Amino acid sequence: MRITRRGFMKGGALALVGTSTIPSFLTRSVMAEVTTAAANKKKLVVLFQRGAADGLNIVVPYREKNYYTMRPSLAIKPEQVLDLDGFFGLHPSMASFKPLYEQGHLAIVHATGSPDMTRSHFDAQDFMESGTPGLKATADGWLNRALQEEKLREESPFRAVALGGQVPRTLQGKLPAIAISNLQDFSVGGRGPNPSPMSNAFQQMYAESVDAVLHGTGQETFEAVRMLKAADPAHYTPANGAAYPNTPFGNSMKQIAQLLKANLGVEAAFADIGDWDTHQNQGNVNGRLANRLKEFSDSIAALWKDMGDDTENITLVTMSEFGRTARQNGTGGTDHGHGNVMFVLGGNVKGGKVYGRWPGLENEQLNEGRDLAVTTDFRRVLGEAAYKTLGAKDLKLVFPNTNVQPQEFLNFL
Amino acid sequence: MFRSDSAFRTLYSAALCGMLLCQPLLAEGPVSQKTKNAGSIAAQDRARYALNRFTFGARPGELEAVEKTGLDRWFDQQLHPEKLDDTAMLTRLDQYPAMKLSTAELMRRFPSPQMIRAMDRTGASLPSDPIERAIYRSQIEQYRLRTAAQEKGQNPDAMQAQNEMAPGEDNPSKREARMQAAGITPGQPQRLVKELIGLPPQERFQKILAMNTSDLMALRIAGPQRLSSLVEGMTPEQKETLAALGGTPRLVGAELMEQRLIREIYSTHQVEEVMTNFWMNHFNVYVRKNAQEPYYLPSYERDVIRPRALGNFEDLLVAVARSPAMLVYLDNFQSTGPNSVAASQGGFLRTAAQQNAPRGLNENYARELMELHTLGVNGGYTQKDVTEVAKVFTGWTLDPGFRPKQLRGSVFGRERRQQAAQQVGMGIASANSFAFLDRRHEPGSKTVLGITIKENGEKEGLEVLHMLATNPATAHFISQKLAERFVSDHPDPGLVEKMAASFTRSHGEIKAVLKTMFDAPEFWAKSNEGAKFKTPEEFLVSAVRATGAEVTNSLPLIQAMNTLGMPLYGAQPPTGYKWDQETWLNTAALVNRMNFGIRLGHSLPGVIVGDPSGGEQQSEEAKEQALEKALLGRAAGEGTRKTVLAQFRNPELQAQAEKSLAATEEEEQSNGMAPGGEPSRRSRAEATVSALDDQTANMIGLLIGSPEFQRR
Repeated sequence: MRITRRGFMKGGALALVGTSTIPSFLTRSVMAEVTTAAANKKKLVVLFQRGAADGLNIVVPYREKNYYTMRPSLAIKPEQVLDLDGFFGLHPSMASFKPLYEQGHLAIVHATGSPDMTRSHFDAQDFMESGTPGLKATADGWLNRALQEEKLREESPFRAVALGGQVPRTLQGKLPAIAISNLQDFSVGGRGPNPSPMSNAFQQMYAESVDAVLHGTGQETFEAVRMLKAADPAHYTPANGAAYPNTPFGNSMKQIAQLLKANLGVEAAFADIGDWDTHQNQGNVNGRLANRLKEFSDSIAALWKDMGDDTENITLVTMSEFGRTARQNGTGGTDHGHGNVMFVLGGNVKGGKVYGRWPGLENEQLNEGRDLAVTTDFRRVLGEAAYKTLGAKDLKLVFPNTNVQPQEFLNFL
Repeated sequence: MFRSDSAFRTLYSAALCGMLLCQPLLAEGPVSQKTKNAGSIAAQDRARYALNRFTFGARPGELEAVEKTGLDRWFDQQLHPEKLDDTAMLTRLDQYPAMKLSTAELMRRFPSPQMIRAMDRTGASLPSDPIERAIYRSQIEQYRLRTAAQEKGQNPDAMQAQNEMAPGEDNPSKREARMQAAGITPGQPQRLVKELIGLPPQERFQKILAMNTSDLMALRIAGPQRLSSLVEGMTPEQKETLAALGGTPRLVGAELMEQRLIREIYSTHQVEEVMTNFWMNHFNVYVRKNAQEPYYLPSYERDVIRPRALGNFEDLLVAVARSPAMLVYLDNFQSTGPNSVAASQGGFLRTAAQQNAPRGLNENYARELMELHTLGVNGGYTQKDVTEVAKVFTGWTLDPGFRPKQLRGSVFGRERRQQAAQQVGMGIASANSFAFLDRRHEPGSKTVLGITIKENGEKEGLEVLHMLATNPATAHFISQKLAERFVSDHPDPGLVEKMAASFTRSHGEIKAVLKTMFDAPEFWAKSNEGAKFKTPEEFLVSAVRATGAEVTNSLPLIQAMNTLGMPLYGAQPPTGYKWDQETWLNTAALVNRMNFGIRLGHSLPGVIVGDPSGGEQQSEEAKEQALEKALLGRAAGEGTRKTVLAQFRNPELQAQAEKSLAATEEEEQSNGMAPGGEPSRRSRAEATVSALDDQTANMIGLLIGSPEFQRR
């Protein structure tokens, strides 16, 4: 028998080596496609607003007098907000969130944040993504740990996916995570439905590499490429007339929908959206923040629409590293603050409600005399989402240096 | 005979591969080597190691040259680059005349969108110089078209698109909308090209310069081949002028990125370039922060960073603090003391510009100065220190500088507040140099890190910068970061300590710190070999250098940087890009790198790859080994070698590779997926067919995409 290299690749390593020695790494991904165990599972989508979004102008406490005193030109007037409950109102450019709230799918948690007082973007993001405020040495991200607990017999390389060029801190860790910026281009040597010969050559090369790290990542790469090709991302039309904004974030949302629908075994998806650092010319009803919020809410609402009945299995959480100063600064913007707002959207969410204890905005109620105080640790929100969506019951593993307990959950799920 | 031998090896390696898959952790990686091989790098490997650390990778013949010169002497030469001839690279930079202009000249010749807006609203007259006049006119006309489209609700993103700069994402549908708005008729492009094509360059230039916007836009969509033949024979200045007609910030941004890559690829001053790269990242400025940054960045890199890249840290810190690029990026140019004269007066400007007129403190620069530029995040400062440092730097801002003469009188002449506010906008749009404005400076003394800074105007800032530059935490923070760049993601703490001591002893002389690192035995520890996973920039530049490619157009490489996830000048957060493997090694990165290897091997348009092996080998094995040596500087692993050698034996593979490659490009063109619409059009126009046979091209592609090439 003459085995050509091509034949070898086509038949696959499995055929040659024999099933008894099939490494679990390969079986799990090959099998993941045909079983539905992973596909039926709940999925958690985490969205990070990088740059510290101004929560006070996103979900506006429009009954707070001091809000208007502190933000003479930035405040959203009571008659401009989209009223939620007679006390809070959405920024008017988030009209697409209003029906989701009214239908009870969207919950809001206000005055959330980190116990750590840092006002450094870098540190605060790092702490939120590692899930360990104050601890810099944490090597992995909370969402990776939330997936570690469950050892799936058949594990998909797509369990943890990030949209973008790099695996974010949130998803870094023991469990392999994938970063993809464009589903169609996730292919070596051309886009076609089958692997190109160059792709096969590279696959063999990495399979035989003695560089353990690159060997491993190489294997993950080609397995993921193969599975994605099978899902045919080139031909995708959003369902139910969902219209995604033609922006990087809108595209991320669209591709998350594609991935979730393709039954690749995605359990956690991550995307981020930047430009929230509104030190200057933030605007009020219109302007820089308003534009950002429109893109943000329209993209998420499009995902919701696109997923249709599948929203039953999805929980989506948004977060940002900290809020912004309660008072506007001297340059038509706001500086780095503390407490902020999080959104939770999902088929099983008990929405239509603003959760959390509101600390008030009177001068003496402010954190360090300048920011919205934090009354809900962000880990209580993420913990509940991970616990009830992903089944991550071991919260000590997910958030090691704190004591998040199910009895402390806000029960928005 | 050959065939069966190969089949046997395939079989053997497949079994081997199966074993490795079962126990991948048993394979030797850099981590496990660290404990096993505590020795130092062998003498014959040192030159390669040093080139991998202190340059963007070896160019053909460079390894041998360094060995001949002697490593110590070579390093010493690199630390004193002024004596190294770099004329060949400088000649290449002649293609980018705008990059030689001062910021003021750049802003005058290639007006920013703000400037254009202000001129349009104030009805200012155009410059008299015919070339500048043509550029201004085209920009104003395009601005009006965009505004009109926006008012009709056709193109809500027009203003934003205008602020974006090259290599932009000008999408085709947007372009078509503009075409319609500009009233371009079918056949117009073809007719224009026909009229121009036979003319001598000078005449052609003048004709294009005199065109109206409709004709200009028609010309731009005439197709890449035609466009490039239209500028044939023109001087770099003329080409640049015509490019500027299509969008000024785009042109400036594109030239900025092109010159950066040309320098990194071709400069003989490699240590200086690597350190320029290091400091540009350390003192990161994001090019898309606003429409001004593209104008500030050329001078920032050329006048602030590069001349001090191997100089004194405090000197560098002060120069950065005064640079328009940083003042704008971290908002300090607007920061105003709450008790300053400016805050208490305000005057008519305040009412005019309302909330946009600066009259308060902005802490952004103060915080990042300590956290990212000097002390490091654990450097022992508090929120109180941040606020105090912010006060110290109030008044460090921009001098409004150039305003066209014809506009100057109008502020008080017309006494219209609306116009005054525009004038302020115009001032910011054209401000180009540092100024200390006492009236914005917060009065009183400040306390920073427990030290009282007496009220002393601008000198307060210098005092704080001196304090920070000489703080031991800074010496440590900078040394750690350098070691992470040059040695490994987790450098030996002993080495960092030595470097920090050297930093302190020399009062922040960067050369001294680098020399200390170079002389330390920890630097030469065997465990450091291949310990660094290349960043996308290091990967791309080292690939172009290793193949000895001739780059006549670096725009395709700029696009590739976007695809690889590390756009030039594109780090939005003040942290800049990270240097570690954790950040850059992932499945998508490998896909992109393999694809880049394939494409580079077959020559990108304007990036022509020769045969690094010399092409005179007798056997296939000899050729393959010559390529390994040329691209990796050493022998490849068995797995890599086998795959690359297989290129000789599978003719189907080459045909396939070519076909799929072409398909990819076509798809990109048809559905607008190319990262930069405009540049790719231009680049394809200059496409030159690779001189290499497919076998060699594929072998190069495989080696560039190989595991070995991802490390340094």
